Amino acid sequence: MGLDYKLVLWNKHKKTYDKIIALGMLLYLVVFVALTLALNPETTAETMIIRAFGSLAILMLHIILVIGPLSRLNPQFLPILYNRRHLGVSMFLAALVHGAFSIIQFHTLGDVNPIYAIITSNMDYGSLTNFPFQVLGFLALLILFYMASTSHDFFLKNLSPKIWKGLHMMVYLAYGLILMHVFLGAFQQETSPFTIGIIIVGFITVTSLHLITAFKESKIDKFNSEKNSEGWLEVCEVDEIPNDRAKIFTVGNERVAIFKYEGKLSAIHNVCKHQGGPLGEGKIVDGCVTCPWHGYQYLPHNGQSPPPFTEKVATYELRLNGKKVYINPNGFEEGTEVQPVTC
Amino acid sequence: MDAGLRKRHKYIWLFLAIVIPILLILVIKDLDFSQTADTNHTTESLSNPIDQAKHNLMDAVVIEKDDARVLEMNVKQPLKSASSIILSLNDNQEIGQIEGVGTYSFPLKSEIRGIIIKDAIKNQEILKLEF
Repeated sequence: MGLDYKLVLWNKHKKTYDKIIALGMLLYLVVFVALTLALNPETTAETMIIRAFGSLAILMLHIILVIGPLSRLNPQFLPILYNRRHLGVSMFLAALVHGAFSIIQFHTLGDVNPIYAIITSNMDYGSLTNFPFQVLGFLALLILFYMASTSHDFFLKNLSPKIWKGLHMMVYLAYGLILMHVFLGAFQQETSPFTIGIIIVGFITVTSLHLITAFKESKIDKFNSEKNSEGWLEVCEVDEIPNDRAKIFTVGNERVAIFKYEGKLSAIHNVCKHQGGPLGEGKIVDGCVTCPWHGYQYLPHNGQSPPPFTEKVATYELRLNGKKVYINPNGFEEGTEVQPVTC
Repeated sequence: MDAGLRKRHKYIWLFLAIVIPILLILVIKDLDFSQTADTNHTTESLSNPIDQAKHNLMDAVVIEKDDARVLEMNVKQPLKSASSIILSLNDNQEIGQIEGVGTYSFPLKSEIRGIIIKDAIKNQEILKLEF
């Protein structure tokens, strides 16, 4: 959480994660080069660079794609999610090295523009096995470039989290393009059941995790609670909410998090203003609801970020009848003060 | 994420889960997993060549395979041309195309005295190999 825009928002934890990313990438490249020299010593330096960085980018993309669903299924993965953006930009840099060397190697020695050459050097667009696979990789690289260049909080704030998140879902399209780029390209020239197997296992893992999470979330979205005669929804019993934590409910089309803290109950909209993180999966830290994704904070009784920050979320009115908790489904304007319910 | 984004997310992954495996099956179906066996066969055949020529860029060998003549080529270094075609030295008829380092096999329709490697875009001769 920052007041002004900095090129890179580093803190102690992010620096540690970035060192792990850099060391991991270096280690992979060293192992790849060593194995290539041992098993296939005739490989040229250019080919080795292209393959090493291409396979590194694919591996990183798979890791990036499983972080989201894993942290939805198990909160222990949340610290990795916190640093996912840096991992994404690092992955783009690896993909860029792969793309740049491939273009230099295969498309700069002719007398046509290299980008034009990528699209026109193989015009067999009607064939599946001889499809111009480089075009698919190039399109994926453009998407990754767009995502890396707009990953900064400046764009997030100015595009709005909803539009930003929607646009950044293009990574799934890039993933599909990259899979086809690999299967129609590298594997057509050097068929190996081992490498094909790895990619297939990767695809099954990523897709299964996303679908399991998506269906789990759909179930929560379909939750219907009973309305009383005044139109208030009965959501749970007070004991079901742990201290300094929340329970999430679907009210209309929106998710609401009901927090229990210091013997009180407050309800706020579940979606963080930063990147749409699930506030109800965070906890109360220093009296503030703290988003589990990137640590954005809100006061539970008015949904406002503590000064000098200006983010606000909608608040909801609660009632306690015995042990039963009721919520007014009509939320208030973002940042509206609501008296907490004593429990 | 709000409900709309969650729904979009679910449909995207359902789409990928259906479409990508179909495409992958179609692609894998046409892959040749017997490259090792082919290489052995080629090595065996290369020990009895009909014609051959060597160069530091590539080797070219004509062998007899299944009662037909085949030109086996081993490109050792990348060629500095975007599109390289192989022509017969006899009649300038196109035999095939080279795309990079590796081994290639081209069936021959008739006897050849040698080959010419030509940059098809610049229309320049890169290499001439005579048997």
